[in-house]
Amino acid sequence: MTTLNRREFLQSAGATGVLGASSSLLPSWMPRMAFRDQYQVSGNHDTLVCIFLRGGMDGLSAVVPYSEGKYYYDNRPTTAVAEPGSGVGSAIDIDGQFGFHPELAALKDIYDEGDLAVVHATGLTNGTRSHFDAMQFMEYGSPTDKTIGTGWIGRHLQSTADRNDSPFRAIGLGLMAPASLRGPVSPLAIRSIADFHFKGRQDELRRLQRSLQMLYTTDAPTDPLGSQAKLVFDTLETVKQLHPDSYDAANGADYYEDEFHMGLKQIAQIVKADVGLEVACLDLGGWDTHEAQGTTDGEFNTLMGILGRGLQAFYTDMQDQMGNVTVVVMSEFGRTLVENGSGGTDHGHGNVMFLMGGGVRGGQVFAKWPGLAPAGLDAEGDLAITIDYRDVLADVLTGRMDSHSLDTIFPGHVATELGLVNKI
Amino acid sequence: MNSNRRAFFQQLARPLQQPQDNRLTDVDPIQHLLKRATWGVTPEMLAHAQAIGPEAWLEEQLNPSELTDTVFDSKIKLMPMWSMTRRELYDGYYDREYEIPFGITKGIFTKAVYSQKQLLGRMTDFWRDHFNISDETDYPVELMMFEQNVLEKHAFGKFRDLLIATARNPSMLMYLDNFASSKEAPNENYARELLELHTLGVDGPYSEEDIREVARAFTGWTIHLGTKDGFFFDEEMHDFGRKSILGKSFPADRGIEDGLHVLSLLARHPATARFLSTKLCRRFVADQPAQSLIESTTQVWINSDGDIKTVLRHIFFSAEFQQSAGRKYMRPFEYLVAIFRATEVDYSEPWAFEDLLLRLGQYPHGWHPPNGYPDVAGAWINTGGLLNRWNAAMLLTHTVHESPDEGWGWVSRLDEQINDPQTAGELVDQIATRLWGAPISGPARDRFAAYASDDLGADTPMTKHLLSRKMASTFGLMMASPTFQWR
Repeated sequence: MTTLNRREFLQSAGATGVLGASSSLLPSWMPRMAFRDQYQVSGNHDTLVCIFLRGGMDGLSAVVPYSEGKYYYDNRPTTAVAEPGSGVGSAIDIDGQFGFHPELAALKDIYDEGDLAVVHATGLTNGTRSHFDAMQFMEYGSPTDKTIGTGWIGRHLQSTADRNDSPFRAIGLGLMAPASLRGPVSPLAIRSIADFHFKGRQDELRRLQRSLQMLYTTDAPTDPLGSQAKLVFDTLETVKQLHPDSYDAANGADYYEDEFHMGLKQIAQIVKADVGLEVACLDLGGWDTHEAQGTTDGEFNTLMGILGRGLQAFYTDMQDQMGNVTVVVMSEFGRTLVENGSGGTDHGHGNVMFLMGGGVRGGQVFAKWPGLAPAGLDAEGDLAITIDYRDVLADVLTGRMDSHSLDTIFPGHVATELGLVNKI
Repeated sequence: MNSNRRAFFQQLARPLQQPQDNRLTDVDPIQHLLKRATWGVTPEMLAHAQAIGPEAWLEEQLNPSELTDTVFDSKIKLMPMWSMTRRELYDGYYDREYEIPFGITKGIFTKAVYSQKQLLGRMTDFWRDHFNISDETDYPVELMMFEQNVLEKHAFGKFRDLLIATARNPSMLMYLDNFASSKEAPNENYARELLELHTLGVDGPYSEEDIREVARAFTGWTIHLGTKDGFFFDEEMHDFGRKSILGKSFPADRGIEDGLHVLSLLARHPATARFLSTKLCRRFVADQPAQSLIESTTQVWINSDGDIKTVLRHIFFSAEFQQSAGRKYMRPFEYLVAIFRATEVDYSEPWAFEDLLLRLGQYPHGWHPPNGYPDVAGAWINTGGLLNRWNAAMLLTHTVHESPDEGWGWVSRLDEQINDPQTAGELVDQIATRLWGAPISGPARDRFAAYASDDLGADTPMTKHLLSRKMASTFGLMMASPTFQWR
C-alpha cells in the first residue's frame, strides 16, 4: 500500500496516542478455560469469514480469462492483464485457461496447495447495476425482496440459535455490521478489540458501569438499544480476558497496518482465542473503477495487492486453524467486458468468488464458463452469470457450517450442490 | 362474579405497565420542534422560542440571513479558509490543499455548535448526505465551494436550482466521473446516480436505456479550473445527436441545453417529489414515516414546485410530527455536536477532535459511496458505536486530572454550567436543563439521582465533596444514557 489515507493515518496515530501501549503483563492471552465456563458453545462447524469487496470488483482482471484471446484483449485496450509469460505485469497461469492478476501472486501457493478455489462467471442474477440494490439483495440473500429485512448470515445464525450464546458469535469488523448479519442474533460491530474498554473516572468506574447497565436494562420488547448494551457489557468482560495488545501473528505472517489487514489479524486472534466465533464479516472497498483502472499501476492494482497479501497473511497466521475456517470473498457485481472511454470499466454482471480454507476443494477454477465470444455474453454484452452466488454459499453452509435451513436462508431458491467443499 | 373473574377485571383496571426504554416521548411541542430543527436544545434557545411561539421561531430559522450570529462569526474568523473566495483558496492553499478537507470538517462542526442558524445547518447536512461527495477528492477547493455555494446557498431554495448547482460543481463532476464523459466514450456513473440517488430513486420509473441516454445528454459537462466556478461545457465532447429520455424526445443539435433539460425534467418529476419527501420525513420525523405524511408532503412538494421552505413548514407542523418525539436515534456527528452544545467543552488539539470524530464513525464527507450516511437507527445501533459514545461522554466531561486519557487538550467548562445545587436531584435537574432545555421526570431521573447520591436518593444534600466527585461523572452518565441517544 503506497499511501495511507487520512482516515487510516489517524486511526493508527490515534490508536497509539489515545490508548497508550497498555500491553499486558500476562504472557498468554488465551482465556480458553475461563471462557468455556461462561458460554454455551456447541456444534461441529467451521468459522466462516465473509469478505465483501464493495464497489464492484473487476473479476475479469482478478482471474484473467487470457485464453479468450481477442474477445478479452480487443475489448480492453488499456485494462486487460497481459497473457502469462509476456513479461512484467502478466497474469500468473493457474490452469491453462485462467491466470491470477500479478498482485495475487501470493495466492498461487495456496491455490496449488488445494486450499483456494475460484468460482467464475457467478453472481446475483437479478440484473441490477445499482451498487446499493445489488449489495442489499446479495447480503439479504434474496434477489427480489428488499423488505425481508434480515441477512442470509443473520438467518443462518437464527436457525442455529441454540448452539451458541457467546457475544463473539458474529462479528462485523468495522463501524457498522453489514446487512448480511442483520437478524435477531445481535452481531458485534467492533473496529478494534484492543480498544474495547469502558473509560471513566477511576474511582467511579464501577458505579458508572452499574448505573449504565440499569439504565439500558429495559422491559421494552422492541428496545434496540437494550440488547446492544447487554452485548457491550458481556463483551467488555470477555475482552478483559483476551489481552488483545499482546497478540503476535504466528509463522511470521506479515500483515499490513491498514484497516483490512488489521481486521483479518483480529479475526485470527479471536478464532484462536476460542471464544465462540462462528461468523466474521469484513469489507474492502474502493473497487468502483470507472476511471483509470490500470493494470500494473492504479487503484485496482493497489487493492488487489491488499487483498492478495491480506489473505496470504491470514492463511499463514492461521495454519493450525485453517482446517476449520472457510473464507468467502465476494463482490456485488463484476464489470463491463468493454472498457469505457475513461480507461475504466462500468457496472457489469458475472464475477468471481474465492473460497479459501482446509475444507475447500481448492486448486480449481470452478465454472460453467460461458466464454467472452458474443454468443456467450448476456443480453447486455457482459460476462454471463452461469452460477447463482447462492449455490456457492449453500455449499459452504451445508458442507462446512452444519446448516439445515437453506429454505429460510435463501427463500424461494432451490440450491444446486456444486461440490466446492469437503463435508465436515 | 366469581373470584377468578373479579381478579381478572381488577387486573384490567390497573394502569398498564408501559414498556419503557428511558426515551423522552412526552415532551413539550416546542421542545420537540427544537430537538429536531436544531443540533441540541439550549435553555436560551428554548426560552426564546417559547417567548415568540413556534411559528415565529421557525420563520426566523427559515430566514437565516436576518439572524445575528456574533459568537459563530468570531469563531469562524479563526478559520480563514471559510471566508476566502475560490481564487484566494487556489492561490493561498496551492501547496497545502490537503489541509482543506479537515478545515471543512472543523467549519461545519463549529457552525453546528455555535451558529444561531441551526435549521440551516441541519438542512445543509441533509443535502450533504443526499448529494454525497467523499472528501478524498482531487479538488478540495471545489468541495469547499460545494459546501458554501451549492449546499448551503440553496438549502432553503428550490430543489431545481440546487440540483443544477450540484451538477456543475467540479468535485461532483470528478466524484461521479462525468468530467471524462464524451461522445466517443460516455461514462454512465453520474447519469445512474443522478436518477437513482439524486432524483427519481432506485424504484423510480426509469430504465437502463434511460441511464445511457442521460449519460449522452451530459457528455461535455466537464471541468476547467479557469472558469468562474470550474464548470466548463466542452462542445467537442458533447454528443449532439437526438435522444429519448423518460419518454420525452430530445431533438438533435442541442448542447448544454440537453443536460439542463434533463435536470428540469427530473426536478419536476412526481417520482422525485415522492423520493425527496420520503427522505425529508425520514430525516426530520421518523425512520419509517407514516404513509399519510409522505403523501401530504409529496403533494406540498409538487404544488410548491419543490420549494424547500414550504415543504419544511408542512412537515414541522404536521400531526405526524407532533407524535414523533423520541423516535430518532442521534447519529454520531449530531451526538458529538449535542455534547458540545450542552457542556460548552472545546478542544485545543485538533487531532484529538478529529480522532474522536473518526472513532464515533461519522464526519462530513467521510462517507465514500455516493448514497450518503444512513439515516435510520438500525444502521447506527451497534456494540462498538455504543461503547464509543459512552467513552466520548466520559472523555468530554472530565477535566485533565480526572480523565483516564489525561485530557488530551479538551477544555472543560462544566463548572460554568452548574450553579450550586443543594441536592442530588437538583444537580440532575440542572444537567437535564443543559441537555434537553428543561428538567425531566420519571425513572431515568431517579436513576441519575441515585448515581449522583450513591444510592441515597434525590434529596441527598450535595456537599462540596460529593459534588466534586459526582459532577462530571453525572454529566457523563446522563449523556451516555439511552435518554440522550434519542431525540
